[in-house]
Amino acid sequence: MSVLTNLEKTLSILWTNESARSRYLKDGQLPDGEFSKSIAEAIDERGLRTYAELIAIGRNDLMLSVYPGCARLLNKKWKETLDDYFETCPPKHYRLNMSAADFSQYLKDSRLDLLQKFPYLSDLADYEWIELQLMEDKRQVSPEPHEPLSRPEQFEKSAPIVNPVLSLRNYNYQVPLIVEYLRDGEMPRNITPREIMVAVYRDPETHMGCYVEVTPGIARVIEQAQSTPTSYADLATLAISYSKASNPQDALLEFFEVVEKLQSLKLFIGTQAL
Amino acid sequence: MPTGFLKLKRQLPKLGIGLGLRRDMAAETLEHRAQIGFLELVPENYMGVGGKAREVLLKAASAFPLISHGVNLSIGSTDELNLDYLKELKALLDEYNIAWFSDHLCFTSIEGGYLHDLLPVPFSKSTVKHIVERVKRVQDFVGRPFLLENISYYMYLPGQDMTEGEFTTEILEQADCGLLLDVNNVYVNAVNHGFDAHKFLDTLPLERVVQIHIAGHKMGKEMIIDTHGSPVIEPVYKLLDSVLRKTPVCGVLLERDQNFPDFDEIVTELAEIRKVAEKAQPELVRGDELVRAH
Repeated sequence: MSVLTNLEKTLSILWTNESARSRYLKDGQLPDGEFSKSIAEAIDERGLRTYAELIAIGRNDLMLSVYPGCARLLNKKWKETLDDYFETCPPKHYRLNMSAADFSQYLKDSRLDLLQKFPYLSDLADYEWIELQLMEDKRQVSPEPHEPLSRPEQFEKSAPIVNPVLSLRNYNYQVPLIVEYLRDGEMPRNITPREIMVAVYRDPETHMGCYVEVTPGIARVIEQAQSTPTSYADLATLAISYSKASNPQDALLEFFEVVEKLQSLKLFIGTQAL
Repeated sequence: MPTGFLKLKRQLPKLGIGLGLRRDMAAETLEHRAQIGFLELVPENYMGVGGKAREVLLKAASAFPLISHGVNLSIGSTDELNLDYLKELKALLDEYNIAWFSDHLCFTSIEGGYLHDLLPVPFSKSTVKHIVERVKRVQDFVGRPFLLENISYYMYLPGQDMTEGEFTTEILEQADCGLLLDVNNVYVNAVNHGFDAHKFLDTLPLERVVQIHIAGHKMGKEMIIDTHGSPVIEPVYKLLDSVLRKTPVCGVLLERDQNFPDFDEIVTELAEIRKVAEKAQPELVRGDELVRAH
């Protein structure tokens, strides 16, 4: 290892790892370094503290902006959680925001202690992350006119175009309700497990992130239309198989209402011929 | 007779007085074309990014000359240069036909992990050799004029055998690239480490300055910190004036990254910078006026 590599690595640890820094500041002990005593002694303590603080502030600012709900929930545990997160999942991407990408998975994998207290924490983290991910998604979306399904052949020979900047998320808790509590400055109350599906997407005009809770049937329709262009007729058959309507006609009417709703929400952004 | 980069510098456009393009004040920035000569983007905020950010960038590009100022090239790191990063950077610079690009004389990553801060390297002959080789590769790959910026540093690293002036000069001359001189960083370092900022300027190869950064700072716990979050102070304006009287440059840029004030305050600061430039280097501001009129 070159002297420069060794120096950069050692300082990075001292700047970002509080216990390594404390050990150094207390008794001059360096982490795995191959330095001469004179170099170890030449590390400026004031600078060490300043960089440690600057890096921590930068990380906290980023994570607070991405995970305001998780931060409110964790409150006094927030700082310790961030320190451990960055130690466990050091940022591997040159884009700052990507440093926050693994937080939900980290909570699932490494923080059973926190999940015992807040079992919905990793769902909440995913919910907060996915908005940013979709808002930055590089795909450009150009909405096209929706053709009214007035003739049977249109029903058979055309398919909806699904907003490409869309993700269907499966949660074990009612995350939108939890977010509402936290936004109102309250701690979530009486949150019991309940599976929900949420379509998260970017509005093609405002570029804002949007969330809509969907039924399993609608989720399946969106998924199918997303994976391969599928005629409205085939999507209707799929929707009807999930419908609780008492007869096929009502189920079909329900499907038309769903299509209109998905169009108005800009989850379906146009119609394509098959 | 100037050769290499110095010859290239003569051909670069005079963009005048510019502003950093930031999400928090993008809307007001785009409405103030008459007060802003050019915009500087942080490429990492746009590389592989769509949505609102791309929409803002397209609008900015249609109205302003753009230049690029990166934060994660990590030129001082001993990690391999990140080729994916360089490819995306080159694509962005090509798409918007950016006249020059810059990054910081520092390291930001080690062993594949990014610290997302501008971290100092030791001022040493071996670091010079390491960085010069990397700058040459970056310039060859990207194919556009490249500038390195002097950073604010809050500690000297062990193992130094050169002064900052010698270190910077050696790198710029051996790699034959330009200097983005941040006069606020010079001021911050001078105060924190107790040297004379004006004397320090004389140790730099000022003929290589293409662009100047100017910004505000604040008092931290133990040192003053280059926050870009407060107004520019008088001693920093004096440094700007001093550099502009010594060497022709192509642009002066106001950086504001936090604690965003009412945009009128930004406009007032830009006018103040323009006033300094008009006295010290009128041709810079004339270029700016021509660009804005166009």
